[in-house]
Amino acid sequence: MADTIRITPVVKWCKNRCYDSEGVRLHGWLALRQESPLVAAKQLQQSNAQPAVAGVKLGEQPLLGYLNLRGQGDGFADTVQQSIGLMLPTTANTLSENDDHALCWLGPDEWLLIVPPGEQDALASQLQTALQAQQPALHCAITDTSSGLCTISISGQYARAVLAKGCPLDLHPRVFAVGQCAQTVLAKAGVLLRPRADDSLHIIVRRSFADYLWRWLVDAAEEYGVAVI
Amino acid sequence: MTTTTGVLRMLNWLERWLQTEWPHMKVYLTSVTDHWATISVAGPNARNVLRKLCTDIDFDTEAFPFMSYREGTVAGVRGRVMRISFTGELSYEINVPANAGRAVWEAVMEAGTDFNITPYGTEAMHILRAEKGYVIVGQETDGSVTPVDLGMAGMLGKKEFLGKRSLQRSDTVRTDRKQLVGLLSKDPQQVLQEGGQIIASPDVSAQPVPMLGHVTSSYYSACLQKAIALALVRKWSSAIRRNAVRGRYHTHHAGREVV
Repeated sequence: MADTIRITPVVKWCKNRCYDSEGVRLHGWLALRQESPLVAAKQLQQSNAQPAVAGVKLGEQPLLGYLNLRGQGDGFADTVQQSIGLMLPTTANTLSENDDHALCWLGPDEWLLIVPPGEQDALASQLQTALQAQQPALHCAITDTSSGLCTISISGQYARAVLAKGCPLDLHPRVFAVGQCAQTVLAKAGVLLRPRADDSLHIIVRRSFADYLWRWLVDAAEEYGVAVI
Repeated sequence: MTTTTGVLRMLNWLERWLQTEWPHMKVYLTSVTDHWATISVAGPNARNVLRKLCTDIDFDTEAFPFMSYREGTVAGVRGRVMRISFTGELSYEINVPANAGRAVWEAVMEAGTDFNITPYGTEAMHILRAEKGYVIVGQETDGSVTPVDLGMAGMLGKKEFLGKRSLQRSDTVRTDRKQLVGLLSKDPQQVLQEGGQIIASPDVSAQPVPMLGHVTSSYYSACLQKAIALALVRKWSSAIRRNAVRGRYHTHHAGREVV
């Protein structure tokens, strides 16, 4: 399956069944053949020659888990923190993170939890169980939107210059740095931006805009030399 | 569940009611439109195809009636199956997380090989639903058309619902309102023009010509081997009724008798 992004290192596919390198059939989430919304756009670019000097590198963090969290009050914040070990950020446009997990502020009662591929189901039910056990009952919602979002990574000397072509925010590292996040528009697409370093950012975009936005980024970055990683 | 093009309007509408009229309700709205991929399996063998892919849902008519939904595993993927129909045939819609959409699509196509399964596009769907007399909101209807006009009075809620007052206004209870009808061309090969005005007589010398309604959808049906159309036409006026009985509706554009 040349057009499939594999998330396990060595798997073989036969009639939608998945086998590891030992020929043992895999079950559950790992056995699902999943495909990123960028599958077509990335192929297009990878077939092109890579530039000698790349001022911009584009990549993807494929098939991450995304949970939308809604709730209010100390009871909600404490329960989430105890359940997943991340503090619920209450300052606008900030996030808390550890190794592979990030909890981004989206609004006064809305957050986005980003987790490694495949962890979303277990984390969602863990959160549900913890929240439902609270007395008095909490008004909250945990919604899995993992297939609905996609993370594009952009890095390199000119990464922020490319984004500035299509985004009204001040993207200078002085005012938009690691630990912050912001919902904005990028080339007319609604996105969540997350700085990873001075010269590196994650762009979280809805599935239906992912292909379009990738192609826009390739075009916007062309003058700096763009490499797909 | 709403149509793709209706999703933003619907979310805004729900938020508006939640925030302005019912702020006491404890409800959060989160769009999952991008999360789900939908595959429609339609046709007399739809149930047989689904049974091959999904063993944890009972597909018997009584166990899984029209307009209901079940959660289950389709081709190994946790999802939802709805028994709804856009084509008018026996039909199911499979929802799975979109990242697994292609895998499930390929599994559906493979399971349907025995039944000569084939993909169908929106134009085919439009013809199929018109054969059945299913409306498209926004094509058969505009903001002035009520469910009663469409012959769907039986589907209205019996209790309170948003819009109920609108159905009791003097204009909406008029007995001569336009209603949805099906049209057949006198010449079965003559496909009427969508948007064509319906008039009582081909004689248009006395103007303005009273307009009785218009053609809302029109296709050539390969299955029926004739042209079919849906129209909104004023009803119960005795003159029009008489003309209808005598087969004397006309479209303005074609100037031909159509009923």
